[in-house]
Amino acid sequence: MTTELTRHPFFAGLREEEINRLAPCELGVSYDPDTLIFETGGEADCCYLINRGNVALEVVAPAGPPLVVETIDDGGLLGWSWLIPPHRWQFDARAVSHVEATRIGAECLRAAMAHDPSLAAEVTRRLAEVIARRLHHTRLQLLDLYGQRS
Amino acid sequence: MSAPTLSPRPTTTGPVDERLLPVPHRVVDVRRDTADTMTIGLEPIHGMPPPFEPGQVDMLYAFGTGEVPISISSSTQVADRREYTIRRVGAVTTALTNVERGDRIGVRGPFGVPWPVEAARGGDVVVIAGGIGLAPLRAAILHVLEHRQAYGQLSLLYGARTAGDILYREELETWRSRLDVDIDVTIDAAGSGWHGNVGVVTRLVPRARFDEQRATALLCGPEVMMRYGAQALLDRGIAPERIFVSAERNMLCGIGTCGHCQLGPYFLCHDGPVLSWDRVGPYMSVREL
Ligand SMILES: Cc1cc2nc3c(=O)[nH]c(=O)nc-3n(C[C@H](O)[C@H](O)[C@H](O)COP(=O)(O)OP(=O)(O)OC[C@H]3O[C@@H](n4cnc5c(N)ncnc54)[C@H](O)[C@@H]3O)c2cc1C
Ligand code: FES
Repeated sequence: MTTELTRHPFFAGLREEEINRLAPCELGVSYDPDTLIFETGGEADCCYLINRGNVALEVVAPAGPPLVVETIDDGGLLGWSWLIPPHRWQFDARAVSHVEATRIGAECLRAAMAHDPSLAAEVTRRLAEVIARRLHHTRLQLLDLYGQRS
Repeated sequence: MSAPTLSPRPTTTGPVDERLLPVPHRVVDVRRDTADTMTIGLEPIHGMPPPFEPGQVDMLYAFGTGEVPISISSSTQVADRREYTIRRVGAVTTALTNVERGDRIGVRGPFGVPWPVEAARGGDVVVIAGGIGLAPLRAAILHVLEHRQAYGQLSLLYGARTAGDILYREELETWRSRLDVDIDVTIDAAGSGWHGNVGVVTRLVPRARFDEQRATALLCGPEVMMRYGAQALLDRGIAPERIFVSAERNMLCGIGTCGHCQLGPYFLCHDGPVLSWDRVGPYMSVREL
Protein backbone atom coordinates (compact mmCIF):
# COMPACT_ATOMS: atom_id res chain seq x y z
CA MET A 1 0.00 0.00 0.00
CA THR A 2 1.36 3.47 -0.80
CA THR A 3 0.15 6.15 1.50
CA GLU A 4 1.98 9.37 2.43
CA LEU A 5 3.18 7.41 5.47
CA THR A 6 5.39 5.06 3.48
CA ARG A 7 7.11 7.99 1.81
CA HIS A 8 8.09 9.67 5.07
CA PRO A 9 11.38 8.61 6.74
CA PHE A 10 9.67 8.21 10.12
CA PHE A 11 7.57 5.28 8.94
CA ALA A 12 9.90 4.04 6.20
CA GLY A 13 10.43 0.27 6.30
CA LEU A 14 7.36 -0.61 8.36
CA ARG A 15 5.63 -3.84 7.34
CA GLU A 16 2.59 -3.57 5.07
CA GLU A 17 0.12 -4.66 7.73
CA GLU A 18 1.55 -2.07 10.12
CA ILE A 19 1.12 0.67 7.53
CA ASN A 20 -2.40 -0.57 6.87
CA ARG A 21 -3.16 -0.27 10.56
CA LEU A 22 -1.93 3.31 10.59
CA ALA A 23 -3.50 4.40 7.30
CA PRO A 24 -6.91 5.35 8.82
CA CYS A 25 -5.10 7.72 11.22
CA GLU A 26 -3.55 9.89 8.49
CA LEU A 27 -4.85 13.08 6.96
CA GLY A 28 -3.03 15.25 4.41
CA VAL A 29 -2.86 18.87 5.56
CA SER A 30 -1.18 22.04 4.31
CA TYR A 31 -0.47 25.39 5.88
CA ASP A 32 0.33 28.80 4.44
CA PRO A 33 3.44 30.57 5.70
CA ASP A 34 2.97 32.10 9.17
CA THR A 35 0.00 29.91 10.10
CA LEU A 36 -0.02 28.75 13.70
CA ILE A 37 -0.27 24.95 13.56
CA PHE A 38 -0.68 24.50 17.30
CA GLU A 39 -0.30 26.56 20.45
CA THR A 40 1.38 25.97 23.81
CA GLY A 41 -1.02 24.39 26.29
CA GLY A 42 -3.42 23.16 23.59
CA GLU A 43 -4.47 19.53 23.49
CA ALA A 44 -1.82 17.42 21.76
CA ASP A 45 -4.17 15.20 19.82
CA CYS A 46 -1.91 14.41 16.86
CA CYS A 47 1.57 14.55 15.38
CA TYR A 48 2.68 15.75 11.95
CA LEU A 49 5.05 14.20 9.46
CA ILE A 50 6.48 17.12 7.50
CA ASN A 51 6.60 16.30 3.80
CA ARG A 52 7.45 19.79 2.49
CA GLY A 53 8.45 23.11 4.00
CA ASN A 54 9.56 23.88 7.53
CA VAL A 55 7.99 24.66 10.86
CA ALA A 56 9.33 26.81 13.69
CA LEU A 57 8.87 25.82 17.32
CA GLU A 58 8.39 29.05 19.22
CA VAL A 59 8.25 30.20 22.81
CA VAL A 60 6.33 33.31 23.67
CA ALA A 61 8.74 35.70 25.36
CA PRO A 62 7.45 38.24 27.84
CA ALA A 63 7.11 41.71 26.33
CA GLY A 64 8.70 40.74 23.03
CA PRO A 65 8.24 38.78 19.86
CA PRO A 66 8.27 34.98 20.15
CA LEU A 67 11.64 33.22 20.13
CA VAL A 68 12.27 30.37 17.72
CA VAL A 69 13.96 27.48 19.52
CA GLU A 70 14.19 25.07 16.62
CA THR A 71 12.95 24.50 13.11
CA ILE A 72 11.72 21.18 11.78
CA ASP A 73 12.23 20.50 8.11
CA ASP A 74 10.79 18.17 5.53
CA GLY A 75 11.37 14.60 6.56
CA GLY A 76 11.01 15.60 10.23
CA LEU A 77 8.43 14.73 12.85
CA LEU A 78 6.53 17.51 14.57
CA GLY A 79 5.05 16.80 17.99
CA TRP A 80 5.44 14.03 20.53
CA SER A 81 3.34 15.48 23.35
CA TRP A 82 0.49 13.20 22.21
CA LEU A 83 2.45 10.26 23.66
CA ILE A 84 3.21 11.66 27.07
CA PRO A 85 0.56 12.78 29.56
CA PRO A 86 -0.87 15.37 30.07
CA HIS A 87 -0.93 15.51 26.23
CA ARG A 88 -0.48 19.29 26.01
CA TRP A 89 1.71 21.11 23.47
CA GLN A 90 4.90 22.50 25.03
CA PHE A 91 5.58 25.06 22.28
CA ASP A 92 3.84 27.00 19.55
CA ALA A 93 4.39 25.60 16.05
CA ARG A 94 4.28 28.04 13.15
CA ALA A 95 4.68 27.32 9.44
CA VAL A 96 7.75 29.20 8.23
CA SER A 97 7.13 28.41 4.58
CA HIS A 98 4.29 26.67 2.79
CA VAL A 99 4.00 23.34 4.63
CA GLU A 100 2.59 20.05 3.43
CA ALA A 101 2.28 17.43 6.13
CA THR A 102 0.56 14.25 7.14
CA ARG A 103 -1.42 14.64 10.33
CA ILE A 104 -1.67 11.47 12.40
CA GLY A 105 -4.53 11.43 14.90
CA ALA A 106 -3.29 10.50 18.37
CA GLU A 107 -6.30 8.54 19.50
CA CYS A 108 -6.23 6.43 16.35
CA LEU A 109 -2.46 5.96 16.61
CA ARG A 110 -2.65 4.95 20.27
CA ALA A 111 -5.43 2.46 19.41
CA ALA A 112 -3.35 0.96 16.59
CA MET A 113 -0.39 0.65 18.95
CA ALA A 114 -2.52 -0.96 21.68
CA HIS A 115 -3.73 -3.49 19.13
CA ASP A 116 -0.29 -4.39 17.80
CA PRO A 117 2.51 -4.52 20.40
CA SER A 118 5.25 -4.94 17.82
CA LEU A 119 4.02 -1.82 15.99
CA ALA A 120 3.89 -0.01 19.35
CA ALA A 121 7.46 -1.03 20.12
CA GLU A 122 8.68 0.09 16.70
CA VAL A 123 6.90 3.47 16.77
CA THR A 124 8.13 4.10 20.33
CA ARG A 125 11.69 3.15 19.36
CA ARG A 126 11.63 5.53 16.39
CA LEU A 127 10.15 8.27 18.50
CA ALA A 128 12.86 7.74 21.13
CA GLU A 129 15.44 8.14 18.36
CA VAL A 130 13.92 11.45 17.29
CA ILE A 131 13.75 12.66 20.90
CA ALA A 132 17.34 11.59 21.61
CA ARG A 133 18.56 13.41 18.49
CA ARG A 134 16.69 16.57 19.44
CA LEU A 135 18.05 16.37 22.99
CA HIS A 136 21.58 16.05 21.63
CA HIS A 137 21.07 19.07 19.37
CA THR A 138 19.54 21.06 22.21
CA ARG A 139 22.54 20.30 24.42
CA LEU A 140 24.85 21.54 21.68
CA GLN A 141 22.75 24.67 21.31
CA LEU A 142 23.05 25.26 25.06
CA LEU A 143 26.84 25.11 24.76
CA ASP A 144 26.66 28.31 22.71
CA LEU A 145 29.03 26.72 20.21
CA TYR A 146 29.88 29.81 18.24
CA GLY A 147 30.34 32.17 21.16
CA GLN A 148 34.02 31.29 21.43
CA ARG A 149 36.49 30.09 18.85
CA SER A 150 37.19 27.02 20.92
CA MET B 1 47.05 54.10 14.77
CA SER B 2 50.55 55.64 14.75
CA ALA B 3 52.75 55.08 11.69
CA PRO B 4 55.68 52.74 12.32
CA THR B 5 59.19 53.34 11.08
CA LEU B 6 60.08 49.95 9.68
CA SER B 7 62.46 49.79 6.78
CA PRO B 8 61.10 48.08 3.67
CA ARG B 9 62.28 44.59 2.83
CA PRO B 10 61.57 42.16 0.00
CA THR B 11 58.27 40.38 0.46
CA THR B 12 59.15 37.06 -1.10
CA THR B 13 59.47 34.08 1.23
CA GLY B 14 63.07 34.07 2.36
CA PRO B 15 65.23 32.14 4.76
CA VAL B 16 63.61 31.14 8.05
CA ASP B 17 64.82 34.08 10.15
CA GLU B 18 63.49 36.52 7.50
CA ARG B 19 60.07 35.15 8.20
CA LEU B 20 60.23 36.51 11.72
CA LEU B 21 60.29 40.09 10.45
CA PRO B 22 56.95 41.80 9.87
CA VAL B 23 56.54 43.47 6.48
CA PRO B 24 54.78 46.83 6.63
CA HIS B 25 51.38 46.86 4.91
CA ARG B 26 48.79 49.58 4.42
CA VAL B 27 45.12 49.15 5.21
CA VAL B 28 43.29 49.70 1.91
CA ASP B 29 39.81 48.52 2.80
CA VAL B 30 37.74 48.18 5.96
CA ARG B 31 34.32 46.51 6.03
CA ARG B 32 32.14 45.77 9.03
CA ASP B 33 30.72 42.23 8.89
CA THR B 34 28.97 41.97 12.25
CA ALA B 35 28.97 43.87 15.55
CA ASP B 36 32.32 42.35 16.56
CA THR B 37 33.86 41.32 13.23
CA MET B 38 35.58 43.29 10.46
CA THR B 39 37.17 42.39 7.16
CA ILE B 40 40.25 44.43 6.35
CA GLY B 41 42.18 44.59 3.09
CA LEU B 42 45.97 45.02 3.23
CA GLU B 43 48.56 45.81 0.58
CA PRO B 44 52.32 45.76 1.11
CA ILE B 45 53.80 49.23 1.11
CA HIS B 46 56.57 47.95 -1.17
CA GLY B 47 56.23 45.17 -3.71
CA MET B 48 53.72 42.38 -3.97
CA PRO B 49 52.63 39.96 -1.27
CA PRO B 50 53.96 36.41 -1.65
CA PRO B 51 51.51 33.81 -3.00
CA PHE B 52 49.46 31.78 -0.55
CA GLU B 53 47.10 28.84 -0.53
CA PRO B 54 43.57 28.67 0.91
CA GLY B 55 43.65 28.06 4.65
CA GLN B 56 47.08 29.54 5.30
CA VAL B 57 47.56 32.18 7.98
CA ASP B 58 49.53 35.36 8.33
CA MET B 59 50.79 36.82 11.58
CA LEU B 60 49.31 40.33 11.77
CA TYR B 61 51.20 42.80 13.92
CA ALA B 62 49.27 45.73 15.37
CA PHE B 63 52.20 48.00 16.09
CA GLY B 64 52.62 48.71 19.75
CA THR B 65 50.04 46.11 20.78
CA GLY B 66 51.04 42.67 19.55
CA GLU B 67 50.91 40.01 16.90
CA VAL B 68 48.26 37.33 16.23
CA PRO B 69 47.63 34.62 13.61
CA ILE B 70 44.78 35.42 11.25
CA SER B 71 43.70 33.33 8.26
CA ILE B 72 43.81 34.90 4.83
CA SER B 73 40.17 35.09 3.78
CA SER B 74 40.51 36.48 0.25
CA SER B 75 40.83 34.68 -3.08
CA THR B 76 44.24 33.33 -4.05
CA GLN B 77 43.63 34.91 -7.47
CA VAL B 78 43.95 38.43 -6.11
CA ALA B 79 47.67 39.04 -6.32
CA ASP B 80 48.17 42.55 -4.95
CA ARG B 81 46.19 42.53 -1.72
CA ARG B 82 44.87 40.24 0.96
CA GLU B 83 41.81 40.24 3.12
CA TYR B 84 41.47 39.13 6.72
CA THR B 85 38.25 38.74 8.67
CA ILE B 86 38.89 39.45 12.31
CA ARG B 87 36.71 38.94 15.34
CA ARG B 88 37.40 41.22 18.30
CA VAL B 89 38.18 39.10 21.38
CA GLY B 90 41.17 40.73 23.12
CA ALA B 91 43.80 43.45 22.92
CA VAL B 92 45.35 42.68 19.53
CA THR B 93 42.16 41.83 17.68
CA THR B 94 40.60 44.99 19.14
CA ALA B 95 43.50 47.04 17.73
CA LEU B 96 43.16 45.26 14.37
CA THR B 97 39.42 45.88 14.18
CA ASN B 98 39.89 49.56 15.04
CA VAL B 99 42.08 50.33 12.02
CA GLU B 100 41.20 52.86 9.36
CA ARG B 101 42.20 53.12 5.73
CA GLY B 102 45.81 54.24 5.45
CA ASP B 103 46.87 52.73 8.80
CA ARG B 104 49.87 50.42 8.84
CA ILE B 105 50.03 46.81 9.97
CA GLY B 106 52.98 44.39 9.98
CA VAL B 107 52.47 41.07 8.20
CA ARG B 108 54.49 37.84 8.29
CA GLY B 109 53.59 34.75 6.38
CA PRO B 110 51.97 32.84 4.87
CA PHE B 111 52.28 29.94 7.29
CA GLY B 112 50.81 26.50 7.64
CA VAL B 113 49.31 23.64 5.70
CA PRO B 114 46.42 24.71 3.43
CA TRP B 115 43.03 23.10 2.80
CA PRO B 116 43.46 20.14 0.40
CA VAL B 117 41.63 21.84 -2.45
CA GLU B 118 43.85 20.23 -5.10
CA ALA B 119 43.44 16.71 -3.70
CA ALA B 120 39.67 17.28 -3.53
CA ARG B 121 39.39 17.80 -7.31
CA GLY B 122 37.06 15.44 -9.08
CA GLY B 123 34.89 14.85 -6.01
CA ASP B 124 32.26 16.66 -3.96
CA VAL B 125 33.26 19.25 -1.39
CA VAL B 126 31.31 19.75 1.81
CA VAL B 127 32.22 22.76 3.90
CA ILE B 128 31.05 23.07 7.51
CA ALA B 129 31.67 26.36 9.24
CA GLY B 130 30.67 27.77 12.60
CA GLY B 131 30.75 31.47 13.47
CA ILE B 132 34.05 33.17 12.56
CA GLY B 133 35.17 29.74 11.23
CA LEU B 134 33.75 30.73 7.85
CA ALA B 135 36.66 33.19 7.44
CA PRO B 136 39.46 30.59 7.15
CA LEU B 137 37.24 28.66 4.72
CA ARG B 138 36.36 31.58 2.46
CA ALA B 139 39.51 31.28 0.33
CA ALA B 140 38.83 27.55 -0.16
CA ILE B 141 35.19 28.18 -1.15
CA LEU B 142 36.30 30.91 -3.58
CA HIS B 143 38.89 28.50 -5.01
CA VAL B 144 36.24 25.84 -5.68
CA LEU B 145 33.95 28.46 -7.24
CA GLU B 146 36.78 29.77 -9.42
CA HIS B 147 37.50 26.24 -10.64
CA ARG B 148 33.93 25.03 -10.53
CA GLN B 149 34.25 22.49 -13.36
CA ALA B 150 36.97 20.63 -11.49
CA TYR B 151 34.66 19.68 -8.59
CA GLY B 152 31.38 17.85 -8.09
CA GLN B 153 28.76 19.06 -5.66
CA LEU B 154 29.66 21.99 -3.39
CA SER B 155 27.71 22.12 -0.12
CA LEU B 156 28.22 24.80 2.48
CA LEU B 157 26.67 24.24 5.91
CA TYR B 158 27.04 27.31 8.08
CA GLY B 159 26.01 27.85 11.68
CA ALA B 160 26.01 31.13 13.57
CA ARG B 161 24.72 32.29 16.92
CA THR B 162 22.08 34.71 15.67
CA ALA B 163 21.06 36.23 12.34
CA GLY B 164 23.20 39.27 13.21
CA ASP B 165 26.31 37.07 13.53
CA ILE B 166 26.18 35.69 9.99
CA LEU B 167 29.37 36.57 8.13
CA TYR B 168 29.57 37.57 4.46
CA ARG B 169 25.79 37.89 4.16
CA GLU B 170 25.81 39.45 0.71
CA GLU B 171 28.33 36.95 -0.58
CA LEU B 172 26.28 34.06 0.81
CA GLU B 173 23.25 35.44 -1.04
CA THR B 174 25.26 35.62 -4.27
CA TRP B 175 26.58 32.08 -3.83
CA ARG B 176 23.10 30.84 -3.00
CA SER B 177 21.73 32.32 -6.22
CA ARG B 178 24.12 30.14 -8.25
CA LEU B 179 22.59 26.86 -9.30
CA ASP B 180 25.74 24.87 -8.58
CA VAL B 181 26.13 25.52 -4.85
CA ASP B 182 24.01 24.24 -1.95
CA ILE B 183 24.00 26.55 1.01
CA ASP B 184 22.28 25.74 4.26
CA VAL B 185 22.49 28.27 7.07
CA THR B 186 21.26 27.74 10.60
CA ILE B 187 21.31 29.87 13.73
CA ASP B 188 21.03 29.02 17.40
CA ALA B 189 18.35 31.50 18.35
CA ALA B 190 15.95 33.59 16.32
CA GLY B 191 13.10 36.03 16.56
CA SER B 192 10.07 35.42 14.39
CA GLY B 193 11.50 37.60 11.59
CA TRP B 194 13.98 34.84 10.66
CA HIS B 195 12.69 32.48 8.01
CA GLY B 196 15.60 30.05 7.93
CA ASN B 197 16.74 27.10 10.04
CA VAL B 198 17.15 27.22 13.80
CA GLY B 199 19.33 24.56 15.41
CA VAL B 200 22.93 23.42 15.45
CA VAL B 201 24.93 23.13 12.26
CA THR B 202 25.61 19.41 12.71
CA ARG B 203 21.94 18.58 12.13
CA LEU B 204 22.30 19.87 8.55
CA VAL B 205 24.78 17.08 7.74
CA PRO B 206 22.32 14.18 7.23
CA ARG B 207 20.42 16.05 4.50
CA ALA B 208 23.37 17.75 2.78
CA ARG B 209 23.91 16.75 -0.83
CA PHE B 210 27.22 14.95 -1.34
CA ASP B 211 28.45 11.52 -2.21
CA GLU B 212 30.14 10.09 0.88
CA GLN B 213 32.52 7.98 -1.21
CA ARG B 214 33.96 10.87 -3.20
CA ALA B 215 33.51 13.85 -0.91
CA THR B 216 36.13 15.85 0.93
CA ALA B 217 34.94 17.70 4.03
CA LEU B 218 36.46 20.94 5.32
CA LEU B 219 35.51 22.07 8.83
CA CYS B 220 36.34 25.19 10.74
CA GLY B 221 34.84 26.64 13.87
CA PRO B 222 34.98 26.19 17.60
CA GLU B 223 36.58 22.88 18.54
CA VAL B 224 33.43 21.42 20.08
CA MET B 225 31.55 22.15 16.87
CA MET B 226 34.29 20.53 14.78
CA ARG B 227 34.22 17.42 16.95
CA TYR B 228 30.48 16.95 16.58
CA GLY B 229 30.64 18.00 12.92
CA ALA B 230 33.30 15.39 12.21
CA GLN B 231 31.19 12.78 14.03
CA ALA B 232 28.14 13.65 11.90
CA LEU B 233 30.28 13.25 8.76
CA LEU B 234 31.66 9.92 9.97
CA ASP B 235 28.06 8.82 10.64
CA ARG B 236 27.26 9.70 7.01
CA GLY B 237 30.12 7.46 5.92
CA ILE B 238 32.93 9.85 4.98
CA ALA B 239 36.32 8.33 5.80
CA PRO B 240 38.30 10.17 8.53
CA GLU B 241 41.18 10.74 6.08
CA ARG B 242 38.83 12.84 3.95
CA ILE B 243 37.62 15.05 6.81
CA PHE B 244 39.87 18.08 7.37
CA VAL B 245 39.70 20.53 10.24
CA SER B 246 41.55 23.71 11.02
CA ALA B 247 42.98 22.96 14.46
CA GLU B 248 44.00 26.18 16.13
CA ARG B 249 46.28 26.87 19.03
CA ASN B 250 47.75 30.25 19.76
CA MET B 251 50.88 30.92 17.76
CA LEU B 252 54.01 32.87 18.48
CA CYS B 253 56.83 32.26 16.01
CA GLY B 254 54.77 30.73 13.20
CA ILE B 255 57.79 28.81 11.93
CA GLY B 256 57.84 25.69 14.07
CA THR B 257 60.49 26.67 16.60
CA CYS B 258 58.84 27.93 19.81
CA GLY B 259 56.38 25.10 20.49
CA HIS B 260 53.60 27.52 21.45
CA CYS B 261 51.12 25.98 19.03
CA GLN B 262 51.64 22.35 20.02
CA LEU B 263 48.73 19.91 19.94
CA GLY B 264 49.85 16.38 20.76
CA PRO B 265 52.72 15.59 18.40
CA TYR B 266 51.91 18.48 16.05
CA PHE B 267 53.18 22.04 15.84
CA LEU B 268 50.10 23.53 14.27
CA CYS B 269 51.89 26.44 12.58
CA HIS B 270 53.95 23.91 10.68
CA ASP B 271 52.04 20.60 10.59
CA GLY B 272 48.65 22.37 10.54
CA PRO B 273 46.45 24.25 11.06
CA VAL B 274 44.69 22.02 8.52
CA LEU B 275 44.91 18.34 9.49
CA SER B 276 42.86 15.30 8.60
CA TRP B 277 40.56 13.87 11.26
CA ASP B 278 42.36 10.52 11.45
CA ARG B 279 45.49 12.41 12.57
CA VAL B 280 44.11 15.16 14.78
CA GLY B 281 40.76 13.78 15.96
CA PRO B 282 42.19 11.77 18.86
CA TYR B 283 44.02 14.84 20.22
CA MET B 284 41.02 17.13 19.92
CA SER B 285 39.01 14.95 22.28
CA VAL B 286 41.63 14.79 25.03
CA ARG B 287 41.22 16.97 28.08
CA GLU B 288 43.71 19.82 28.67
CA LEU B 289 45.69 19.51 25.46
C1 LIG C 1 45.69 29.21 12.75
C2 LIG C 1 44.81 30.30 13.33
C3 LIG C 1 43.97 31.02 12.48
C4 LIG C 1 43.16 32.03 12.99
N1 LIG C 1 42.36 32.73 12.13
C5 LIG C 1 41.59 33.72 12.61
C6 LIG C 1 40.78 34.52 11.74
O1 LIG C 1 40.77 34.33 10.53
N2 LIG C 1 40.04 35.47 12.31
C7 LIG C 1 40.01 35.72 13.66
O2 LIG C 1 39.31 36.61 14.11
N3 LIG C 1 40.77 34.99 14.50
C8 LIG C 1 41.56 34.02 14.01
N4 LIG C 1 42.35 33.29 14.88
C9 LIG C 1 42.26 33.57 16.33
C10 LIG C 1 43.09 34.78 16.68
O3 LIG C 1 44.44 34.52 16.40
C11 LIG C 1 42.88 35.09 18.16
O4 LIG C 1 41.56 35.53 18.34
C12 LIG C 1 43.83 36.15 18.64
O5 LIG C 1 45.11 35.58 18.77
C13 LIG C 1 43.39 36.75 19.96
O6 LIG C 1 44.33 37.73 20.34
P1 LIG C 1 43.90 38.96 21.25
O7 LIG C 1 45.13 39.64 21.72
O8 LIG C 1 42.92 39.81 20.54
O9 LIG C 1 43.13 38.29 22.44
P2 LIG C 1 43.75 37.57 23.72
O10 LIG C 1 43.84 38.60 24.80
O11 LIG C 1 44.96 36.80 23.35
O12 LIG C 1 42.58 36.56 24.01
C14 LIG C 1 41.26 37.01 24.30
C15 LIG C 1 40.39 35.80 24.52
O13 LIG C 1 40.31 35.02 23.32
C16 LIG C 1 40.78 33.70 23.56
N5 LIG C 1 41.55 33.26 22.37
C17 LIG C 1 42.67 33.82 21.89
N6 LIG C 1 43.11 33.17 20.81
C18 LIG C 1 42.25 32.17 20.60
C19 LIG C 1 42.15 31.11 19.63
N7 LIG C 1 43.01 30.91 18.66
N8 LIG C 1 41.13 30.27 19.77
C20 LIG C 1 40.25 30.42 20.74
N9 LIG C 1 40.27 31.37 21.68
C21 LIG C 1 41.25 32.23 21.62
C22 LIG C 1 41.65 33.79 24.78
O14 LIG C 1 41.68 32.57 25.48
C23 LIG C 1 40.95 34.85 25.59
O15 LIG C 1 39.85 34.35 26.28
C24 LIG C 1 43.17 32.29 14.40
C25 LIG C 1 44.01 31.56 15.23
C26 LIG C 1 44.83 30.59 14.72
C27 LIG C 1 45.73 29.83 15.64
S1 FES D 1 54.03 29.06 16.76
FE1 FES D 1 56.04 28.57 17.34
S2 FES D 1 56.17 26.48 16.94
FE2 FES D 1 54.24 27.03 16.15
